[in-house]
Amino acid sequence: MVGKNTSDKPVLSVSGLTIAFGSTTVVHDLSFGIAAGETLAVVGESGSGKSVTSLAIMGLLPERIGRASGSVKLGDRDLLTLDESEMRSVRGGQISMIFQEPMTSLNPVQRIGDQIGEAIRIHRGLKGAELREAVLEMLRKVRIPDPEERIDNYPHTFSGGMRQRVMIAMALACNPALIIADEPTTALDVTVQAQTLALLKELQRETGTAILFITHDMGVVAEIADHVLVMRRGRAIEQGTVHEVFSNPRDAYTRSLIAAAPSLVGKLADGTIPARGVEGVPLSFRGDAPVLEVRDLSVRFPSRGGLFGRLKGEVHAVEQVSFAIGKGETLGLVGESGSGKSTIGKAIIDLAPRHSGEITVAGRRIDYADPRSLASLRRDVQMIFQDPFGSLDTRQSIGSAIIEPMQVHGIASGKEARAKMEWLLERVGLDPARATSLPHEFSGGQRQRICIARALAMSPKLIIADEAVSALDVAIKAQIIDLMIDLQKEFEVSYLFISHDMAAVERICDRVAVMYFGEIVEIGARDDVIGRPGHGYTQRLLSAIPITHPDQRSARPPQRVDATPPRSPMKPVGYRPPPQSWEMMAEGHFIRRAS
Amino acid sequence: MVSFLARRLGFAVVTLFSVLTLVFLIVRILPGDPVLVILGDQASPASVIALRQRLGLDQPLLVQYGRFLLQAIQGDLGTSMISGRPVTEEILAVLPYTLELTIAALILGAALGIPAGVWAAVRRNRLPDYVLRLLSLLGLSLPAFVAAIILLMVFAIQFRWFPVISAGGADTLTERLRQMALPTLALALIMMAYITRVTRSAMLEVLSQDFVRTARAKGASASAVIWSHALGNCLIPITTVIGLYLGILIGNSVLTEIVFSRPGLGKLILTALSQRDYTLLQGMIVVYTLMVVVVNLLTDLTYGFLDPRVQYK
Repeated sequence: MVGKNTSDKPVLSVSGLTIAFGSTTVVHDLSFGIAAGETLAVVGESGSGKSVTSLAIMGLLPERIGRASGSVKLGDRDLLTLDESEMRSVRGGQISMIFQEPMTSLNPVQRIGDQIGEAIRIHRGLKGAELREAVLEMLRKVRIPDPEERIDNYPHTFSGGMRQRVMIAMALACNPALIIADEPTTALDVTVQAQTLALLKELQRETGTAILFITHDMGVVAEIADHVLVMRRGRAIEQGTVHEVFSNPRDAYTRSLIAAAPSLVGKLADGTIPARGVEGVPLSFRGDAPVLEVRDLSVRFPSRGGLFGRLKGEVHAVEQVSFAIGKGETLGLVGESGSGKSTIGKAIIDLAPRHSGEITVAGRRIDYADPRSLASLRRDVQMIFQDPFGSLDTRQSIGSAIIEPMQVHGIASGKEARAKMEWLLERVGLDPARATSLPHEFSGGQRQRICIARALAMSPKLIIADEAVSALDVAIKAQIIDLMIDLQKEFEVSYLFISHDMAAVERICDRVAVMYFGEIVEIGARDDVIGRPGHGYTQRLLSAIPITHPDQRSARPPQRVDATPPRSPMKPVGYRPPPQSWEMMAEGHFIRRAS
Repeated sequence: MVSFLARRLGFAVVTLFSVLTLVFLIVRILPGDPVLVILGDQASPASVIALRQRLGLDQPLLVQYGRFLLQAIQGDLGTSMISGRPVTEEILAVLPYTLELTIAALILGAALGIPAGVWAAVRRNRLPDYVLRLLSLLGLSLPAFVAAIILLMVFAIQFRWFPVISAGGADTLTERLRQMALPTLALALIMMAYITRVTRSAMLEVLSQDFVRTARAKGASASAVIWSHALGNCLIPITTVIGLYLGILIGNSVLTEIVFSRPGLGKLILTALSQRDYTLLQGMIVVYTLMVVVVNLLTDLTYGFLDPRVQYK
């Protein structure tokens, strides 16, 4: 098993690794090896033992609770036999780590230069000007713009992608033999992910370090791995070269992971389609009458400053957005973080201030100042949020969480409401006998089912699902999406599906709208937008999505590792954006014409 | 930063103004005629009228109020009804005693409480943690004057290491420190209890953060992780608690000063209360308010030094 297909001696070889927390064994008899310059991807869902394995290699298991047995050999030394002070010289020196959350993995009260410098000081013994020069060199290596200036900045002044570059600089600072990257790009936007992966690959070529890459995303594996190890419930269930695993997966679980990747993306049609100019706004939908029509919606947040909180400018979070959704139809709203997609959902249900715009639900224009109009809006439009842990009251039984909105809106009460609640729980695949249980007794996927049942209790016409499946594991995500599709057919409900996850969007959406800096830049039928994107940004977004098979590596355009500062959505007070004009690519497929 | 300071100073002025008004009104609503208090029940009507005129109490309320405000702005809080000396002078004479006691107690409390809290957090759910948690609970529930009396009985009366009465007559620094030791300790123990608890809980939260794991993954030693990475992120809650309890500390010093017969604001306010010295009383309330306002402002400014993310807008 060790160091397959490489003649070199492995940098790291793990054999018979078993990890236990107290009396529970979480990793069983795991063996693998990584050679210099090679990337081993460890794939699995949460709880599969992949992160715990990395902590065991680093000797960072929780004290007094976690125990590891077997052997973890770095060169000729078995790391499991080292004491704490010997292990300290290994950590950050010979093996370093990159973590998932760039927002929380850096110390907020220390300058980034000091944080990178700390590793260099500990392991290379540099001080003063020499140390600073070494840190600057690392910053240049990871392409942080203006390193001389940025070295003295604090982490909060960096974007997520830039922070992850700081983490990479920290990890590479002492020329480690092995880098353990634990979901390093999971929290990043897809275009930033593509850049970060490109940077890692490039630096790996330069330094010849081995990388143990932990991920749940088979697309990322297809992009960068040489070898793959698939883990499930603490055991290795499949191991091989990336081509073997993708072309000929032996285990059904591996096959399901590969199948979860978006399939339309990456099959871009050649050439551009001649476009015809059109007047007006792209308000097409499927069916006879729209369930939701949004016209010229703008959301602006005031930015205040100065002695008396004077209005300095306005953040144009959403700008002149128009779209419609038909009965039983799903419109996907995609875009990167900060593009305004969630704000649109919030503005519709009056959780964000609308600067202008008209919103019509089921043919009735919503008058947000009229309590009756608002009440009917809150009955007809329901939300499902991303975090299934935060969106249920921890002290309210799930049954009463579902009954409560029915009572509030006078839809049903007493026995009738109870019967409907039990029926709904059954519809979303939960046992009605558990209605008296509290949310913490359920898993993440089950809680999302509860949230769906709660939304359906109102017999809504539209459900706004804001990243509703983004926090779930691949297998659970697929189940929830299938459930949503089934329920849509049964209840004839429409979805506004807000997500950054192209695989999910591709699976559930009939039409897709692409958001960029608060504006919709492209909207149309799913196959048109994903298969024949017309707008430059859509093309860029889609090309950043990881490939689905390692064979496509050579076919895709190389990712530039650049550092363009993001455009500012802050505008002076009274700024009037230029009017939008659209081009029609195909029936119902519109792109924004460059202004 | 400048506009933040300007705004906060503006708030401070409004606060002080409100307190001045409130104090002025309360003193006039309180039962008991100050003139009769000064002159006694047997005073002749003529001398009552004369004194009333001298104190300006015969003027309409608004005129009195205007005069009071005008003088207060100039730092003149009136003259004591009992001693006849200016209130400002009376307060300034004892203020240093209270300040030195409070600041010494604060420093001692922080110097003991922060390491104790860190230690308890690092040894979570082990013996040192249990002992420190118990002790700090004891410190919180023990009234200041009880601690003071126990200290006095043990160290001043039983062992005779420190003087029983801490008032004046200190010619040398050693003597002065000896006089301060017990009252400082009595207050510091309470401060320490608060700081230990908040440090412990803040440390526990910070130690589970991702960046602590990052620091360990770099190969940083346990002490570097705890003192440099973790503690640096605990200083904001600790500062908040210190700022909040500084007010309580000043309040506690009243009883401590009485137990140790130390001069200070506490003793002065007690005298003023028992003698119905209204002008002195209103002056002292103003001074207390001023101290709380200043402490709050200093706390806010300290945040900026401790956390680069804090912006003053």
